[in-house]
Amino acid sequence: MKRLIIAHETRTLARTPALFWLLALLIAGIVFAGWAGHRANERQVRGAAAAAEFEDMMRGEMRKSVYAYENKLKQTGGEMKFAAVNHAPTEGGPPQGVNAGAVGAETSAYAVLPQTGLSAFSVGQSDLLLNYVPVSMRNIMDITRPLEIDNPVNLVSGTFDPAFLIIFLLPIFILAMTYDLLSSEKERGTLAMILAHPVSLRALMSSKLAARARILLAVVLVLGLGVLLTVGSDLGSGDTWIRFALWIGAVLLYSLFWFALAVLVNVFGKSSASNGIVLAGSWLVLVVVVPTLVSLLATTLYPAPSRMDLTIAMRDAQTAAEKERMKALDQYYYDHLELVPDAQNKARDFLTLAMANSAAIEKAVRPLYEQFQAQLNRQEELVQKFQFASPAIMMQLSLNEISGTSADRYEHFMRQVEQFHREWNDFFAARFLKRQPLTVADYELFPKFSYEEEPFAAPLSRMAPSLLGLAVLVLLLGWYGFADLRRYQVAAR
Amino acid sequence: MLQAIDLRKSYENFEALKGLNLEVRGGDIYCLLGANGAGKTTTINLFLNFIHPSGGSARVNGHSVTEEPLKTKRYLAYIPEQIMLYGNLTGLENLEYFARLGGHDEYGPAELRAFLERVGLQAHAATQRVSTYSKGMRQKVGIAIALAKQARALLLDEPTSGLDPKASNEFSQLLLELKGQGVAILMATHDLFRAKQTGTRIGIMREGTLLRELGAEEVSHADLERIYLEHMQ
Amino acid sequence: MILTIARKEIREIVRDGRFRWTAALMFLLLLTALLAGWQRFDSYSHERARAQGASEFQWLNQGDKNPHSAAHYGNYAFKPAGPLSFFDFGVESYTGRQVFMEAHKQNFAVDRAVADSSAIARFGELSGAMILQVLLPLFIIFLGFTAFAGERESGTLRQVQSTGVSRSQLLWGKALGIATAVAIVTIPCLVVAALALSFTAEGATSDAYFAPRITVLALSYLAYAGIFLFLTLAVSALARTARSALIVLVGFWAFASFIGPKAVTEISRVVHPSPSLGEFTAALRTDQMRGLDGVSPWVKVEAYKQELFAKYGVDKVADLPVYWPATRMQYLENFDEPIFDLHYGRVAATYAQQRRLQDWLGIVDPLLPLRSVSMGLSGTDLIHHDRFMAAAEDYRRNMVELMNGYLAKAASGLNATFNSSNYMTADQKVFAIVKPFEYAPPRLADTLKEHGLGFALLAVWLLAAAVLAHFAARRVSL
Repeated sequence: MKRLIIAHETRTLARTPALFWLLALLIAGIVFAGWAGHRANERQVRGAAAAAEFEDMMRGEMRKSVYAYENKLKQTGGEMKFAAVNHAPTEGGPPQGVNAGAVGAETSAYAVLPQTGLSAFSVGQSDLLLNYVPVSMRNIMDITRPLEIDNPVNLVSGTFDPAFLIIFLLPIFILAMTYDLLSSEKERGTLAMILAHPVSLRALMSSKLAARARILLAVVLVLGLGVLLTVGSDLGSGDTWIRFALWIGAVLLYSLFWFALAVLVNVFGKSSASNGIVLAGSWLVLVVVVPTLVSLLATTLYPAPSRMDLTIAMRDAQTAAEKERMKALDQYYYDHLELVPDAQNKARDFLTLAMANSAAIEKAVRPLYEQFQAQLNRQEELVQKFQFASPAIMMQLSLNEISGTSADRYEHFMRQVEQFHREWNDFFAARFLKRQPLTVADYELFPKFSYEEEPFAAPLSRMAPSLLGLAVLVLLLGWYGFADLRRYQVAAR
Repeated sequence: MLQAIDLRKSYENFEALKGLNLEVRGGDIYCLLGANGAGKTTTINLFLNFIHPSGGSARVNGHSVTEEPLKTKRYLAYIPEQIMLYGNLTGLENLEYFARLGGHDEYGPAELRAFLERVGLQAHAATQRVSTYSKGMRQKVGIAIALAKQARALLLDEPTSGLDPKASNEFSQLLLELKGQGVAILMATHDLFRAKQTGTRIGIMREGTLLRELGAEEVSHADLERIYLEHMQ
Repeated sequence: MILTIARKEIREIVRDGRFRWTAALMFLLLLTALLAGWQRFDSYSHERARAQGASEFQWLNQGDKNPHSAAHYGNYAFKPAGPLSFFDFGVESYTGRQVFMEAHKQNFAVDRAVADSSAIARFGELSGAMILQVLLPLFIIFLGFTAFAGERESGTLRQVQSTGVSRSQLLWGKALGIATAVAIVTIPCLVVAALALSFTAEGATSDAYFAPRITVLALSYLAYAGIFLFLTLAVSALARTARSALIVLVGFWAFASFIGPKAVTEISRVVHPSPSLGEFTAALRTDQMRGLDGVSPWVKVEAYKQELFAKYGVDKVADLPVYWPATRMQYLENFDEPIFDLHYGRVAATYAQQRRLQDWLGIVDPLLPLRSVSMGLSGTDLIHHDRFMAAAEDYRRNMVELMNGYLAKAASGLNATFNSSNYMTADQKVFAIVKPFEYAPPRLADTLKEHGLGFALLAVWLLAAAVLAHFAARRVSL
């Protein structure tokens, strides 16, 4: 019986020209979204490559000069000497490439957060939070993070990525196909015709749903696979396919939510136009209004301390540190190591002082910064709690986890970057303080950043509440909707 | 075959049906007469389990329609005032769909066509989309659906209103044919003439109560009209 | 006649339970958004004023040090918020709010609010502008989609027509009725917001600033609402049933509000690609190392030294009448300036091209010109940001030049004895020659000129929608 109704529904749908347009739009949308997500990824990859290439070039030049210097010494004999930091090329003497302080402070190593196989599926905040972070002895990590640059107008609009398509547009397609699930049959009068036959309302409803879900989800999932195969990466790795399986699961759950909502609204037995209004309104509230309200609530309840205050505090700390630890001249030379006349002795002190200086600033600002972080964490927790108010939030959080563009994975990355920063500092500071000239061989020993992916259980446990929340919501709505079918009035009185 | 036992239906502010007792046997054509709002359509909807009775029960072939809704619907066929079909399917496709919904998967295209032929639908119309049909043509498909279902009871809600006299007459002939096959027919109608002509029994309803039942042979057409108007006073 | 029709429309709308629900929701959301926006503006302005003052104080009280070191210590420019930013946040959360102005380096603005928010911030911010841009059109659609189609279905359209009412009277009557219903909901909120704003004790909130901007802003939103009102009536008249009218209108709304802005973003990114930070930095620093003309700064600075020797008729640094290290550093500043201009300018130009293209694509999506115009009038668009950044950069260059210039003159005697124990310090009096940072936002006339295209497109849309509604109403089938 159900198969018969499904086949019939499919046939009727196939003869609805509007459906073809709808599906054509959906297909075009998915293709466009996959392409846009891919472009966003490519931009980051290009940025990381260009930055790394420049820094490699800089270090390569230094290495070349050290190589030449070593060769010269081999011919002329003599000890390798330490060199002052000097921006301008000098004739004869040791090149600045032998100075560990110069190499460690004047060049940066880029720590890169690798993209997952599905990163094109949800851009998340990755268009803002830089996933290639410069690490050198100069910067104080963690407090001043550089951000990716882009046209702010574009950032406001956001990327037309597959996550947007799934979260915002897929529900519209689903609702367009289901808002008149029963009401249209009732308005046309065919509902009475059907129910005069031995068919239960429940069987009719579920078959009609199945016919629509089959078409829509086939399109989404097949094209999702298509997007993965064309713009995904790491297709050989199991991780990618587990992520894709999760993606499918999340999309199914999210779609089911909207199908269930349409059932529920249809069960009230109002007209198609009424259902249309109610469903369009629900979409707006759940997808647009609630997320912005939760966001507003988070920033109102836990306002982050002003970054401007943080800046002012940092500068106060800087002034205090300077006044305490350095004479003005030292400061001057710190900024211009190349001008230090008696470099052999002085330079060491400046770098030592500079490092001490940074440490003092960091220490002074740390409490304020931690307060800042604590508020952000509270905001994040609030969002975690209030996500259940909107399937769109749950879905966004899940998709970010699945695509590896979540805030938590970024934090995981940044912790490794901080670790790497310490490693980098230690490597160069040790050699610098010992006034040990860098050799060509040392260049091979420079610390290299390699990202260690968090165990898969971590993102899984983070997205579990979201996915479970969605599942519970689907079950509740579906159960309520189908239970309410018993009260459905087939005939007006 | 069709049996209403103290059947009641009330809404928040009024009673649509106040304890109806009625029986239609196989081979009967029972015509329900009455003004709009008398409770005729309510009765039919109750037999179809489209609405839930507030009291009493409606039975089809001895089974309660509320307890065994799917089983009782196997015996029933329903022809409303406006037969509504899927406009973007052809007459034949509509018939096939409903026949199979009724559990009759066995019909081939030839048999389905034969049903449409039997109710007098032009052969070329069978493969046209229903959205191009006139009301009479749709009504014919509706009867074909009832025939294909091999229903033991037929529920008709003003089936001839809006039909031209010729179509109306053809419709009556078909009813008589079904009556001959022992089908129980319950028909709500305003058409006293047809009721007298085709009906075997006639019931007159007013404000949810069956006021009078009479055999069609017992009265002349003129008497029927007089009795009817008396009850409507 | 038109008034009679309008009165009947309002009565029908107000009696509909759905209207009361949606109106209450709209009202509450709008009020929340406006008050939250006001609170945000109010606290930001205070924070900003405090920070700018503190930064100024820090500059002067950084302790006695070499003037060039002072330039390194630098100063911060904190971006002031225009009072109308309470209504439309524009790109404020996505552009940095502070610029570090230091020797040798031009910096991007940092402190972008959105980077300090949870991921759901990207769903958008609840502002008065957002409500009026996104929710209001849907509200209008809900009120108006049955205007003709519903009456046709219930058969009342035939009856109304039989009384001899002209179709255009019917159209205008309905338009007036719906507009009144919309006004009942929106106007009280806007009045409350205006009152809240008038309590703000900021000097900038003068009537001369507000009155013209609010007027133009109100007219723009009125035009936008009009576009949706007429489109709704037109579709309602043309559609066969109320529900198909609703589907078409909601589809257009979803396109205009959500698909359009993102789609044009992607299009403008393809047509005018902008560099990522990595590419930008690499290109900038490569040019700084090699020189725009392929001559490295070290070669040039050497030539400059020789030039100075020739100019002052000397042959060694010790004899120069200007302090060489300071002169040299100013020379390097001047060397970098065109490189900064080129690279930062190129980025700004690309963004401007993207913005232009998006404005033009407003021909398919009325939200785009409205959004652009609204941000512009609220002082929260990219043009305002660019101007602020330009002011900060001018300030930076001037500050560095003043410090280097002072050093070059004041320390000229140190050329001969330049070593670690002999240096020049300056105090607060010297730092005070750098005046506090000030920024004047663009004048209204400039904003209006910049957004001429947006206004024109809004007018075109409004006209087209009205004409469409007019013809649709005349051709409405019964």
